[in-house]
Amino acid sequence: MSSLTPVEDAFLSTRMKALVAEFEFDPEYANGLKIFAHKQEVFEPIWSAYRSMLENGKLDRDLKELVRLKIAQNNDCSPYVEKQNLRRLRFAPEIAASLSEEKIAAVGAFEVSEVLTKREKLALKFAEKLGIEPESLDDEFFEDLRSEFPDEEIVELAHVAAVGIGFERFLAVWQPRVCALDTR
Amino acid sequence: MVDKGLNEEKIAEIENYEVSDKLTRREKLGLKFAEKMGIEHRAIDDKFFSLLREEFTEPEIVELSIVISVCIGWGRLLSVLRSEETS
Repeated sequence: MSSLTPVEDAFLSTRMKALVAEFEFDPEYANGLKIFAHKQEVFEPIWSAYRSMLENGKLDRDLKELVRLKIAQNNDCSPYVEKQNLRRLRFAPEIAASLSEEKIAAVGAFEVSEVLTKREKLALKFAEKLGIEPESLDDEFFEDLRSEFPDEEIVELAHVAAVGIGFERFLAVWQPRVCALDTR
Repeated sequence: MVDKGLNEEKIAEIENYEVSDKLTRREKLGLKFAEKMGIEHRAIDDKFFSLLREEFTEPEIVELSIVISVCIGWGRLLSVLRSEETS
């Protein structure tokens, strides 16, 4: 499978080096970041902003990580999904560390899950609709959403989902190509 | 954007870009890449990737990917919020 050439370590910016170092535990992912480093002056700030969205805000991090995992799964982000290894899709080990394996496993068939709350299911449904069928986000759905989330949380959720949809699709296109490289 | 050379004629070509005689091959490939990323990203195969590489360098492909990704997410969000506002 064709891919782009990872940027050599010597040409990584200080911030990009630090970012890559965070993913030393996953050489394929780290190599993917080195491909994005072809435009590191653009990529790194966007990545940092996305990460900040996941780590900060009113919504709890577990909920946002569930949403991100759902989007990644729907985008077929990397062969990890095929392996049903959503844990491997975790953004970084320290983010949403309290998220249970049970909840992660429930993301696929979230609508019939008994371990996810109504609030979590609604957030996942919102992310799924925005990514696959945004035209179905009608007044009825927004009413449901408002029964669990105040407006400021809906806006935060919407931004996390929107950036995630674009970003995870980016990864879905390039990550399998990274995995096809000899990264060891 | 218009000041940088993008003209109304080219903008009008976007919808039917594949048959346009005003857009360059490079522009058509950039648009095709955006379309595939937004609608059928699984269809971005090695054949298409090779075509892309004929016109774009690796840093340009990455830059294009980033721009497209941001537009997909926020563009979709704006379309939803806008329709909500007008309904």
